[in-house]
Amino acid sequence: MRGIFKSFKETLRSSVMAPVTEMYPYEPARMTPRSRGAPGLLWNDDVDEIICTGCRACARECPDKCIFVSLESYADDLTERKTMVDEFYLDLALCSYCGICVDVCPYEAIEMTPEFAYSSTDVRSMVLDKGELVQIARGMSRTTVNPPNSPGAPKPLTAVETPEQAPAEDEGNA
Amino acid sequence: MAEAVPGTSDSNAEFMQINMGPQHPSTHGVCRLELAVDGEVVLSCRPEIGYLHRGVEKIAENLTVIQLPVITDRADYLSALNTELGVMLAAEQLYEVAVPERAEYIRVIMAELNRIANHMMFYGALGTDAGFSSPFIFGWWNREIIHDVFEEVTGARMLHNYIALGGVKQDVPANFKDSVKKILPQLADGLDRCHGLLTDNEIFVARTKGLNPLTPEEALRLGLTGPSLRATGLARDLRRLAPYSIYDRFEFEVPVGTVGDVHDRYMMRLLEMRESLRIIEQALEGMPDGEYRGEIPRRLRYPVGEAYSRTESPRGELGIYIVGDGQNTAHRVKIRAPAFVHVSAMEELLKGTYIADAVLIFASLDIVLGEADR
Amino acid sequence: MSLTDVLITVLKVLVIVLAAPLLALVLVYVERKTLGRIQRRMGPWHVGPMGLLQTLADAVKLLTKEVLTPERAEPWAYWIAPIVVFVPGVFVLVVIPFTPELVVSRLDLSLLYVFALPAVSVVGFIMAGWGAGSKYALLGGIRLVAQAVSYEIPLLFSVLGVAILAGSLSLIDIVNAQGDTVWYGVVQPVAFVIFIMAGLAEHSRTPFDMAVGESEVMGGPTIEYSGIRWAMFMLAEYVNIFILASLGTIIFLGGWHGPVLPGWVWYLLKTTPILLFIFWLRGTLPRLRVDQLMGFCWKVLIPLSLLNVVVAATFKVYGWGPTIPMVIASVLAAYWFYRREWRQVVAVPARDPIPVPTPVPAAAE
Repeated sequence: MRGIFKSFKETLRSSVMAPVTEMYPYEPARMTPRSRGAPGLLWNDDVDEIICTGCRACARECPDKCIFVSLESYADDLTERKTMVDEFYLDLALCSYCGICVDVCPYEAIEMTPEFAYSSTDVRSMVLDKGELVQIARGMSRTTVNPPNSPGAPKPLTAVETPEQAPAEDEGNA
Repeated sequence: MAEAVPGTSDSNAEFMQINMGPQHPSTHGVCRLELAVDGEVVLSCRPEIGYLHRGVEKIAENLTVIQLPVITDRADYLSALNTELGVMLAAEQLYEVAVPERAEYIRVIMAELNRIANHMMFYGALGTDAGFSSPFIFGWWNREIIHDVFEEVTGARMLHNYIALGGVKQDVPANFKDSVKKILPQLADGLDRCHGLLTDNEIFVARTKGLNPLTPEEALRLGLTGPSLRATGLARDLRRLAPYSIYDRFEFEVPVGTVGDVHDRYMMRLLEMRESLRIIEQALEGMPDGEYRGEIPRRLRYPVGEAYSRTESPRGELGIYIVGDGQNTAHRVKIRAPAFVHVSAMEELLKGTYIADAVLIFASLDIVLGEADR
Repeated sequence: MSLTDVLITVLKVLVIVLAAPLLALVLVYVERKTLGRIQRRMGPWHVGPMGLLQTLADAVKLLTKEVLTPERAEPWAYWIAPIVVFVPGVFVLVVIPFTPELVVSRLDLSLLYVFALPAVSVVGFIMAGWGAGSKYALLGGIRLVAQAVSYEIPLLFSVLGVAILAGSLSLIDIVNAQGDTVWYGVVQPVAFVIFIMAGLAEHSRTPFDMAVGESEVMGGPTIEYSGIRWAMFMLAEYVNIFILASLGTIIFLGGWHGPVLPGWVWYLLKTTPILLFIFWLRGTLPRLRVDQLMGFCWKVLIPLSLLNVVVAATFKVYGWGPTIPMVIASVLAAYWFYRREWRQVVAVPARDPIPVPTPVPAAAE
């Protein structure tokens, strides 16, 4: 019977300890600087341009082939760029959050943000376009760290509203 | 419902076909065991897998060596870092890349933390199969602590993609030593709690002691490796036998059982967790500064050739076989999964046991269907 | 019996009938909170303040679920089984004296009544197991019934000692008898322990819940039920747990007796620890296997409870009354029995080793 009493002692002991539950939506989630959520594109504030040059290294290396990049020609006085990223689609539903796109980018133009609270009922809204990706990286849609009804909550990410607004092809081969 | 019992010549024996169906209330994954049952006694068992087959090895043939950990993580998702370690050891053999000291130490710490996390999951699953839910939660407090450390270091709680060719992908953060030092006593305490809850509990002992004893010969013939084999008395741990990485520098015991029954297999894993804590302590002290990733060639085509690495994953002996043929992507990646072999051993192990015990035996082999099916 | 008496009785019965499911809901909530506390997590807390409305939400969900009838079900048995299982519990509640005034019906044989009725619900489980038309339900039902029927014997014998000491089969008399002297739980501790264990096994609670084990192949005789029908099984289980705890209080802990506070407060104060203990057991003990369970009943509990009755009867016949020597005698007998029999119960039958083919492959290292 001694063993059973030992079990009793254990559960008695644990019943007076504080619960380990993290009360997530009512408290901010604990994220770390390296937490890998949705990827986001970085913006160069000095020249007010996106850093991404459209080299497509991330699209090539992505194991899930979830990135689609297309370029357009561009002229600017401040920078010497000849081309600018026209479309950059990243399909969050295909993404496996491995971070390889970040590793291979030569310009450090993409980063894994801690954003994870982006679930929606329409799978087409999981394809993020350039503007949304920049928004994520800027933290304007970091609903993760500041839950929706809390004082620090930012404006929610504007997902694709209607099926008409969704891009016809979500991504192609890079 | 009445058919000849497979394996016997008694065609008058009436028995019932029961499916321990793909959906288990316990947490091992989707495996189907077709049992022929006479009353409460299992007469024969036919395991059927494939419900979790995702074509891991086929997908790996389309991936470069940088992308390879992404898919192999998902084969055995509970011990992802150990699988990554095995894959990278094979890849480093093929590419002939040296791994710096610091990276080796980091890899060992990560792999051992993963081992503890995996065994905690085993503990939870075994407790749930024995009939109550508290061990699951007791095991998961500890897993959550480890997951938090993983998130600080690798960015992800479970599928890490951290161990890379030549070392690790990024260096550990500045507070790594403090974080791990902080959780080691918490884990040791958690281990004591788990031990106290289940090990001496008479009902648990009554359920598991003497259940399914195996001799070393039988276990070897069935292909068991890892803690299940060590429970029978054979001290066979690849970290001792064929040391890979820097395991030969650490002092740790290899726990060995006597009878090889379910209780012994359970004790093996608890004791192994303690030994893992020792290894982590020693590795933390000995970790040097330096590079976290070795020199890797600029163009990462697979060299022509093949490489095989054996590692001691928490489940058993994990073998990774990579064949390269000069392309960007591998020609063949084969994972020798210990869980696959253990599932096939179920056919013999379940003969003559009660149904309730069949569940416990399945749990005691620590089978993860993601690895068995790939 | 005047009309007003009849009407009052009908009213009381109605109150009981309505209160029983609510009682079960409250108990489910308490159980989930207790389990959560043991496991260092919150139990239900989101729905309603502190999760109080959780079981109500669950009940509403169950009520709105689709009620499926399996194709191979036996119509009559399948349909009536939940009722047969649930109703006896309510009937038993009718005679339980919470205080001398707060009882619906005063029977002289209430002790017998209280143990005879759950036997009817056992028939309900057979009907559920057979009527569902599935072999898993049938196997689960058979196991459950074997267990329930076996454990009724120690259940009855454990209270028989108390009945002998009190000299009556009426629950009210038993409580009153404890008011003058010491509680029967102190004098017959062995009987108390046996009562709780047998009661748990009777209602298939952990650690005796093999028949309804969830990680078992069979989920028990109730697996083919959905929606409100399954809810009735659940409610029946919790009502029975409450009855078990109440009976434990009445028979062994002195019911409503106590200084200062009113009777029903004492009653609650005594019933709650027993309930919490039952829930705590669920979070602390694994299951016994079916053969161990039956062995435990027949080889340990029945002889012990018989021994207990003999001790009680001896003391009563010689007029010694409930005293310390009785306690010592019963505890010693129990201990001797436990040492002798428990090992046999938990022994795993020897099994032929797996035949090793010849030649034996050389064991490496």
